[in-house]
Amino acid sequence: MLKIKKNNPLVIFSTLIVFLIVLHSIGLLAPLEDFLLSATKPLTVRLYDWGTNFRSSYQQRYDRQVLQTKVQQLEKLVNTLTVANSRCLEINASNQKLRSILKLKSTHHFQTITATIIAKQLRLGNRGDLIIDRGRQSGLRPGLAIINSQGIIIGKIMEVKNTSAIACLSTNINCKLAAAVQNQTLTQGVTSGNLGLTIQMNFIPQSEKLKLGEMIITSGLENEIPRGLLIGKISQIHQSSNAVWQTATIQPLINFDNLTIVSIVIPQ
Amino acid sequence: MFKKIGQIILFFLFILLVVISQFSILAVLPQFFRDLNLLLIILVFLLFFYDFRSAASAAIIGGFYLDILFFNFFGFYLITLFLTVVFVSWILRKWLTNRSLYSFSLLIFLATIFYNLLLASLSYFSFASSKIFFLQNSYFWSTLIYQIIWSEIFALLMFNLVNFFSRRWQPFFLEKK
Repeated sequence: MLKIKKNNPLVIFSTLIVFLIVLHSIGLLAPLEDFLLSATKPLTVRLYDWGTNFRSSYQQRYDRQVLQTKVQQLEKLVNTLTVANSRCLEINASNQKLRSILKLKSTHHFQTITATIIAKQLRLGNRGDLIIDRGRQSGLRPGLAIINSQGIIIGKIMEVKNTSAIACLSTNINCKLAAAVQNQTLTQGVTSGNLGLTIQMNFIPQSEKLKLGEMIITSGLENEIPRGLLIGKISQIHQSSNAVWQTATIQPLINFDNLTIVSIVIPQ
Repeated sequence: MFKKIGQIILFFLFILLVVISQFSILAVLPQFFRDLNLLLIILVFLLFFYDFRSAASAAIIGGFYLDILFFNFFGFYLITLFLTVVFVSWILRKWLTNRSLYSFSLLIFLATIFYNLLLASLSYFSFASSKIFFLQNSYFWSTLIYQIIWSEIFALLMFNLVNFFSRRWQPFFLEKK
């Protein structure tokens, strides 16, 4: 018969682990957990910020020539965008006038809550899910969109706890978004991450004509995510006459590694 | 008594700091750098230079905090870290005859492999978020190799540092009871 010593540390620690799991399941550890998370939050935020800054400075070692080429490309892009922005402002002003004449309500009603990223939960094959310092107590729920300061969608909330939540990045395979192309036919599809680096737009009918560089936005077909949040732009189109659907590779517009502060979109 | 309590509190805070550094600083670095598993190295260090109780306590403190912070099922890290400590302790008692750099390196190597396999297995069978089995995932293997490289570099540095600063941890032969 197997004899177990009275003060066997293996037995003691195993019992302790089971005890902790049981206490957590019945909710008795919740106050301690909340306290621990709140107490360590300032330190985690500071260290995460430091780590992100270190990573940014590490990535910014470019050759002079590469930098010069990049600056020239960006200058051209700025000029193009300035012209496009000017046209958009004109169109928006006309739109507002027409809406007021027809007494139509504005289509965009959402609030945002600012949150700080405190950690990254790394998973196999993904860039890492973001853990933020807002949770159920701040009104968060699964499915809400997360955007950066420019309004570009980063991902969406997957799970919430009382004072924290986890969000998947749009480049993660599990992060699916109902999307639309900003073209004349407003082509619909579903995006999901690809190897943690790019985004793939799937279920695009073969009859739809796509162009490289076209912008992809959220289509508004999901309950919790409003229409019009920018996802990325088309960098490749994959069309095969044998396939039922065509797919497009979407290049994100931001660097997800430099994020420290995000906003959560709460639709009204 | 107060000294003992103070030591326990300091130990608790030290382990928390290691865990926070792991997911707040290291997790945001480029892939090669973020694969350093500081917590695992500390656990093996405690087991090797102190005793099973210290390592198991650290595993429970670190595992508990990781479980309340992350969004896996509660007990995911508690069980993984504790089982890793148990495994490494068994290897140390059954197969190693002395406490030298080579045995420390071997323990770190085996601990890294065991921990990653256990973590990936639990993750795959509990979430099944990836369509590819983790052993067929090249990212799993690259992470494992980088972790082993980092762990061995740290093992070498730590072992030489502690031997430089203290006679207490000079290599000696283990007595079999």
